[in-house]
Amino acid sequence: MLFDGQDRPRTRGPTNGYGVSGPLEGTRVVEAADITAPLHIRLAIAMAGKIACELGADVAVLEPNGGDPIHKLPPFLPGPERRSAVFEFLNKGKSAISAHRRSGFDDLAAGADAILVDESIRLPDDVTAVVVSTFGPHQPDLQGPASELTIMAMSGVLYLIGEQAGEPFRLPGHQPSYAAGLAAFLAMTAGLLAPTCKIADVCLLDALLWVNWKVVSEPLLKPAALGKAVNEWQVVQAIDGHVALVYMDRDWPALAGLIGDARLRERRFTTRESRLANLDELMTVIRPWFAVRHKADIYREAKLRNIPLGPVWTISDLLSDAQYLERDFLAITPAGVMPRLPVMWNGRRP
Amino acid sequence: MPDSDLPLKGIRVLDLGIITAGAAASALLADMGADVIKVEAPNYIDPFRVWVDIEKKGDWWNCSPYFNFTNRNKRSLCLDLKKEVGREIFLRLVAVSDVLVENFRRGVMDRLGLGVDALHKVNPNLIIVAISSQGETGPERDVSSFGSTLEATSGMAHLTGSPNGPPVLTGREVNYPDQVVAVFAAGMITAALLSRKKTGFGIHLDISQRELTSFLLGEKFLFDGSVSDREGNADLCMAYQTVARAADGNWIALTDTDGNAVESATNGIHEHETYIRESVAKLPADAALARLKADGFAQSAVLDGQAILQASWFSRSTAFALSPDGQLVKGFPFQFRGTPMRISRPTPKLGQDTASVLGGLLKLSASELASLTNAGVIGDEPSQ
Repeated sequence: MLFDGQDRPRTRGPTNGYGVSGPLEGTRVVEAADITAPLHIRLAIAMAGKIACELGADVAVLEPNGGDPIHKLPPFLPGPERRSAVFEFLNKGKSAISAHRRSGFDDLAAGADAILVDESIRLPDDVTAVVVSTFGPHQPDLQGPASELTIMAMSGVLYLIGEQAGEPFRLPGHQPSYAAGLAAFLAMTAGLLAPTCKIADVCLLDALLWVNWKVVSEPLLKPAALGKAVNEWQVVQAIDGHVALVYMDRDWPALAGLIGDARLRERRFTTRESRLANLDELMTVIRPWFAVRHKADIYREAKLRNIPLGPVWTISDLLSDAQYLERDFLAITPAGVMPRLPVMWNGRRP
Repeated sequence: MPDSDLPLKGIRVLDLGIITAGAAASALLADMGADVIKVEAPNYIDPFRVWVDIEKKGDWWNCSPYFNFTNRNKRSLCLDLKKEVGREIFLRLVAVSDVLVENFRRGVMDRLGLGVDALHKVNPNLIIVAISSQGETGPERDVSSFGSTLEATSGMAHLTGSPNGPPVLTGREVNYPDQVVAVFAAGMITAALLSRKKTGFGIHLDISQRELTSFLLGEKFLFDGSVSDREGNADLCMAYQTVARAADGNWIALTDTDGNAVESATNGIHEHETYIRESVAKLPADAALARLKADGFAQSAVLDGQAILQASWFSRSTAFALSPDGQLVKGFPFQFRGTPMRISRPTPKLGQDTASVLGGLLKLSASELASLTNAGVIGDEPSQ
């Protein structure tokens, strides 16, 4: 059996770490990755398991001898224990099972409804399994070490982020792994619905390419317009930070009205095309208005006019965000504040 | 294995999803075997059909590449929900469906008389999936936004870019929050179907794209806001990582996961940050990549769309697929081994399946369909 003896989670019954059962109550999930599995695969598996756990599944992590490498991932929370923030976020509510205390993976998997594993794990019979890899079994020619950064390079994500002629930038945190984790959770729950689709492959490259599909569609659609497009939506400086100046063509009269500079009514700025062609001049006119205002005040004015610009909130700003507080999105845990699962299930957090 | 073995075979989805978030979530359900009926109206078509570069001649509304990339494997119903008879017909479809997906602005469904209570009244077992910028509740639920707005307001933009430069948006091409929410929403729907199997009750899922984007930065919140600086291309989890420019101007991404590659590249004697960037800058990209590979770095050229299309591995990627009409379209973010997902239907033309959906599911007769057409309730082209 899965959770017998000392391996039973301390909280009785299914738990998502908040003491509330959820829609996947009674579903038993095991995560297992070989000690040699790359970090991004381990993180993708852990994200899929986290979502299951938040929905009430019993999730057990088979830790390799020496402990779960995610334990050792920086950054570390303040305090003498050097606890990994990533570990606390991904593994809250899961139970850990040390490999050396077990006769083997087969024993553990036998009691599970679904397993989330890397390619090195031999799949047991008759269990829903999601195999997470970097490139997938369908890409035998792609070998060698990879990282989240190199996967972002291969999938065109890096190419698209950053100024036209400047350094490409990566997505922050662990987006390739987490995006693959979302796909792995989807594959796992789909597999639990159908006995014919019990085994699925998730690879980070394809998951990120799927997310970044426009990078491939663009050159097919506009073969003449090669090269990186200019960033139409600019980030502008406010007194206390930045604002993302997001607007559609239809929002232009409202935005020009908000800023109130007569030059914005000149012919060179009247159409989307002309604004793009004269972007530097446009920003020279626009920036001073933002530079002397606080981002919250700018946001308030924009909302009144239905302009979809967005203040660049810091994580610190978000801890007191009225929308997040009203929707009970942030949980206070012993480790610190962390986001809950981003779904309301019949009006409440699962 | 036949498609009838796919996990969502027998599940019917009413797809009011538009642009990417809702439409791509429904597309994933279609890929997994569901009968997805995309519902548009003569006086309201998916804004993705109105592609900026399209010349408005012929049946321009069926020609948008973005729309056609996204909506394959679905059927198309064109039905005016603002007309009472159209709404009644829609509710009859609700009664025989399992899932409804929508990502309109908040309030639109209520104004159509299709709020959660109205839908659950005709089908208590329905799984209602509302994808929105900010969620169904809260002081900002009605605030208009795009994916880039949500990158700003979720904390993502603040963490993207150089530590010495301004925050960076992923931009209109990536539009990250719109893409990831489709995968997340599809996962919540399959979880809801599992739950419904046990409880038999309908479910209302309220999914906020802004919350999801913050959730995907979850570990950053644990520091009470004290650690939230832009990271550039470095990664604390890696011994060394950067994006460097080769002599031919091409960018290269490189990572040393454990410190061994840096040791090999520098012989342990050079200050590695400057040395490695300068080494890359002296060589054309291909030669620099070969050298980095020999030293044990994870490395890749920063590929653009053309380079991806020409890559030797592209045709084997599951992320893109060929539609039966020969067009390249979106594929799948994962794949089943036993019964692989495939594109069995090209993207339908507007209203292409109206007669078969209403005739087949609701047994409307040819004369009833003709009178609905005459009244402008159904159709196969935009009225505006």
